[in-house]
Formats: sequence, structure tokens, C-alpha cells
Amino acid sequence: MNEHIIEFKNVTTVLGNQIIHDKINLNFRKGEIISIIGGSGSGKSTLVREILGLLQPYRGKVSVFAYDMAHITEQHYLELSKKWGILFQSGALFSSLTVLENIMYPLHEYSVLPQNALEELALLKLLLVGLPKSAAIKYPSELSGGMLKRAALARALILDPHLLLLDEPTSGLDPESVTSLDELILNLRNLLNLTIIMVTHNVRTLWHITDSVVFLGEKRVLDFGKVAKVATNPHPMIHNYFYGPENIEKSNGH
Amino acid sequence: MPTHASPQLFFSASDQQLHCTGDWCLLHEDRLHLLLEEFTHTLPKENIKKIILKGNELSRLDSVGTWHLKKLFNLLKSKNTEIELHGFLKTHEALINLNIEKLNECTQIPKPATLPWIEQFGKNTLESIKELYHFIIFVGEIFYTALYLARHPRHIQWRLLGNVLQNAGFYALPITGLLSFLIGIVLAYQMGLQLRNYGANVFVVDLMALSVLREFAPMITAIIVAGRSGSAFTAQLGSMKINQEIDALSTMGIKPVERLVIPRLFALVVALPLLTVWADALGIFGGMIMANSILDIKFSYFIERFDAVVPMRWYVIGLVKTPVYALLIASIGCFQGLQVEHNADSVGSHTTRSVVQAIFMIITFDALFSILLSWLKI
Ligand SMILES: Nc1ncnc2c1ncn2[C@@H]1O[C@H](COP(=O)(O)OP(=O)(O)OP(=O)(O)O)[C@@H](O)[C@H]1O
Ligand SMILES: [Mg+2]
Repeated sequence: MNEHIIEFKNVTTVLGNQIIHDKINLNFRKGEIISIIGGSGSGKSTLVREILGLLQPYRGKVSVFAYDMAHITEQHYLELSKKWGILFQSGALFSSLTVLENIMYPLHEYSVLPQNALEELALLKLLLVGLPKSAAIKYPSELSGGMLKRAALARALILDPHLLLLDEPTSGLDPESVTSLDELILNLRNLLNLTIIMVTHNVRTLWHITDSVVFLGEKRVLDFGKVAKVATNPHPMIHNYFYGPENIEKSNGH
Repeated sequence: MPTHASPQLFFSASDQQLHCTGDWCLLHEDRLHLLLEEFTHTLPKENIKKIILKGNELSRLDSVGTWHLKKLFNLLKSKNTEIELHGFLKTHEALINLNIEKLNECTQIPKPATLPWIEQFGKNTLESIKELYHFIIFVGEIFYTALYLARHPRHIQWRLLGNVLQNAGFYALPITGLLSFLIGIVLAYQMGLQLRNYGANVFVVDLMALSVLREFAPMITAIIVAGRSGSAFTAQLGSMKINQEIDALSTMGIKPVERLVIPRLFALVVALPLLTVWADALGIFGGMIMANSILDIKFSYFIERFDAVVPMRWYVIGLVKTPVYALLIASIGCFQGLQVEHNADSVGSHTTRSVVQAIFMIITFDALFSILLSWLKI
């Protein structure tokens, strides 16, 4: 049985005239929480876009659930879209729908449940991510930045996906919300046996909930493994990331 | 690999056990629906005190599954039956507890307040009045800023102005030329048919000149530009508004009207008359070709007569209208763009409005202008 949900084989990515990734190899195992970290512009969101098939690598192969994303048929892609939930970095909620309609949207597409069931399930996810009920009838433009993130997370969760891709789910949230969202993510993994791949800049999240960490830098994967292992990597970029002036305090506890 | 087993629900009356098996998930929702229906019917009439829900063979469970379980629970609860979960996987039980408790809070779905029709009507009317009011302010702001820029030409955005001149003017040459040419052909053909009956062939020149120069060329050009560039202005400013770019400009102390509106307005005021001259020429040219082929009027004669009978006045009257059209198109286009609210629909509806209002205003203005001229007997 192939336990690898996602595989990158010698993936080279070129955007504009710039090489973003140079021969990247990665395997993500099922049921893990994997964090992708690295400096700004190191190609984390790009990696996520490649997993989603929104961007094709210049060379190499990306496979998701054993489908080659470069040659996937429409039908298989549809199958995949029921299996994954995505939180984009900017939220990407539909601006002309209310939050509840936004959350309901994928379920409405794939299900024949009656309207009230759809609404109840959407509301369930809304409460799950910690939004107040009153947010349901608001439009995305009427939400704060943190609320947008939560609403987008609720939409990503509505189909109970097997694979959850989160691009900076906790940026722009207050520390307390970060903690509760981290717990939620951990809980979801434990309850539903999800595979979660997230891009994050939050050191606390790294230490507390992730199983393994991918460190992107210099167009390559500088390290991939358990947080504790990656954190001891002497490479200057990694060292600075974990033990840069403002992080020393936080990681001392471990 | 997990297998996809169709969900089942069966009740053994002997030991009062209810077994759920298979995948209780989105994939099988229609089956789940049927199961619950069936179960409702097969449930014995007399009340059961306690039912043991067995979940040993439940292979998958997701939120859609728990929603159906919740329905089942509520059904049993309404009959005062106690439920005991038995043999569920820990994760399934946790999910059930988490979801069902929350789902029961979710039955009251907040609904956006809807207004009674009369109130809605009143609100819409007020909105229109407010829009007019804002438009008047906007026009005032344009005037004020234009005067300011006239004294401080250093602040004029030459690059944007050039851009608009190219996009709204130069790139519109083929389409305005072609359409005007076709209109010329159609007009000459229709007039020619009538004039031939009276043997008044040569008058096609007078009629063509009058209709094309005074009315058709300016109007057609303005309508095309409203559709091409008025809508573009609205969409450009609208998406900038959504992106908070307009807010960013304002906070830098730069007036959006000065930076974004005036250059567009000014460029269009320059471009539209020029386009109209071009449309004039091609419209008349179309007429010439048609006159030549059905009325036997040679090109040389057409031009000779054109020179002799067409007063400069007609041409000038056609052209003086065009800067006004340009002002209407650009100011309405930009105004609607700035009125866009924070969603994609809003860009669409304001773009529609911008074009419709611009064309409406163009035709209205043309009619008013004609009335004015007839009073003045020009
Ligand atoms: N459409 C594009 N065309 C050209 N270059 C692009 C494009 N999109 C992204 N890039 C470049 O690719 C690089 C990686 O971008 P990406 O969005 O993946 O960064 P990131 O690691 O997610 O950064 P952040 O942490 O800031 O979100 C950047 O240098 C960016 O300039
Ligand atoms: Mg990013």
C-alpha cells in the first residue's frame, strides 16, 4: 500500500524568468501534520499551488493520491476536489456570497441534502472554527482579517476532506486564537485522520502540533523531518529561522 | 485501503439493538436518507425505553453522517427513547459527541433581514437620489481639480493620459471606422432608393453630408467609445476600489480624482473628436461608394458637389457635441467605478450602469442640442 499522499519528484519550477524550486524531492505521508516553512518568497505558496494542479512544474512530477497532476483527467480531478480542502493565503472567499453561503458552497455542489441540512452543517463548521453565529449572514467585506481566515478554514473543512492544505491559517490572528486554532487542527487530524499540509510562520505551531517540517530555502528543501531535528540543523538560514533574535525566547522552553 | 461499503441500519427487536454499519459519509447521502425513512416506518408503535446503538462495523463517519445520526437521535428522543452508544471507535464517538451537540445549536439559522417591498422601494429611491447627489459633488470635484491642475500642470499624469489616449483613441480607430463606413453604405442605399424615384439622385450628397456629419458619426462614435472605454474605466477603478488601492492613494494625500479621473477625462476629450473626424470621413466614403454603384454618381462629382453644397456649419455642429459626449462618458464611467462596493457583483452591475447611463445621456444630450439649435434656427 502506498502511504504517500503527495510526492514531488525532481520538481523544478520556473515563474517569470526566475527559478523558484530546483529539483525538489518530497514525500508526504498520510495522517501527518506537515508544516512548510521558509523565508518570505521562498516558494511555499507556489509549492501548494503545484499540489493543487493550479501550476505545472517546469520539470519533474507532482503526484497527489497517486495521480500525476500534469496528466490528470477531469474526472479524477473532480474526485480529488472532493477529497481536499484548501485555505488560500488571502482567504479567497466569494465576495458576493454571505459567509454561510460561502461555507456551504462545496457541499451544495456535491450533495443533494435539503437546504436546511446544508445550512446546519455549514453553521456547524462555522461554530467549529470559532466564529460567532452572527457572522453567518455577513459578507466577506464585512469581516475582520482574522474572521476571514476562519471563514475560509470553515469552507475548507465543509466536505470533511482527507487532505487539508492551509496557507498561513493563523497569520493575522491573536495569540489566543492561534492556540485554539492549533488545537482545532490537531483535533481534526485525530478525529478524521486527516493529512494536513500547512504553510506557517508560527514557531509555536511548529513545536506543538506538527509532525514534520519542510524547510524551503535557496530554491531547495534544506531540511525535512521532525521539528526537533530540523531545529538543530546548523545551516545558517535554518539556524536564524529558529534562533533568530526574536525566536530565542520562544524556543528556549523546549 | 478502506473499502467503500454502503451504509446499513437495522434494528433487531429481540435485544433492542440498532446496528449502523458501512460508510456513513457524503458519498452515500441519498442512501442514508432512505435508511432513515425506512427506519421511521419500521419502528414499532409502542415506545421503547432504551436502544443500544451498535457501531462496531461502522467503517467511516463524517459530518454528513453525523447529521443523519443526529436526525436519528432526535427521532428517538421524540419518542422518549434513551440511546446508548456501544462499540464505536473512539474517534467516531468523539466526532459524534462533538458534532451532535453543536448541530443541535445550529437549528436556528440566522437569516438576513428582508425589507417589505414598500420599504425596499423607498430605499431604492433614496439611493438613486443619493447617487445623483454624489454625482453632482463628483462633477464639482472634477471642476475644482481641473482648475487646480491648470495652475499646477506639474501634477498632471502624462503617462496615464497617453495610455488612455492610445487605448481609448488609437485602438478604437478600426472599429469606429468600420462601423461608420457601414452606416454610410446603409444610409446611402436607403436614401438612394427613394431619391431615384424622383430623379433627385444628386441630392444624396446633401443628405449624406447632413446625416453623417451632424448626427450619425458623432453619435455612433460616442456609443462605441462608451461601450469600449466607459466600461473599461468603471472596471479599472472598480477593481482598484475592491483592492483598497483607492484608499491607499487617499491616505498618501493624493486625490483619486486628480490621479485617476482627470487624465481619463482629458484624454477622452481629446480622443473622441479625433475619432469622430475619422468616422466622418469613412461614413461619407461609404456613402460615396454606394452612390457610385446604385445612383451612378462618380466619385469626382460627389466630391465636387460636396464641396459646393455642404456648409462648414454642419461639420462644426457635429464636432462641437463630441467633447461633451466625452465628458459624459468619462465622468459617468469613473463615477460608477468609484461607487463599486466590496464584491465582484458590484463591479458587474456598475459597469452595466455606466454604459447604459452614458448612452442614455448621449442620446438625451443630442436631442436637447437639436431642440436648442432649432430654436436658434441654425
Ligand atoms: N505569477 C508569478 N510570476 C512570477 N513570479 C512569481 C509569481 N508568483 C510568485 N512568484 C515569485 O515566486 C516566489 C515565491 O512566491 P510564493 O508566493 O510561493 O512565496 P511564499 O514562500 O509563499 O512567500 P510568503 O511567505 O510571503 O507567502 C517569489 O519570489 C515570487 O516573486
Ligand atoms: Mg505564500
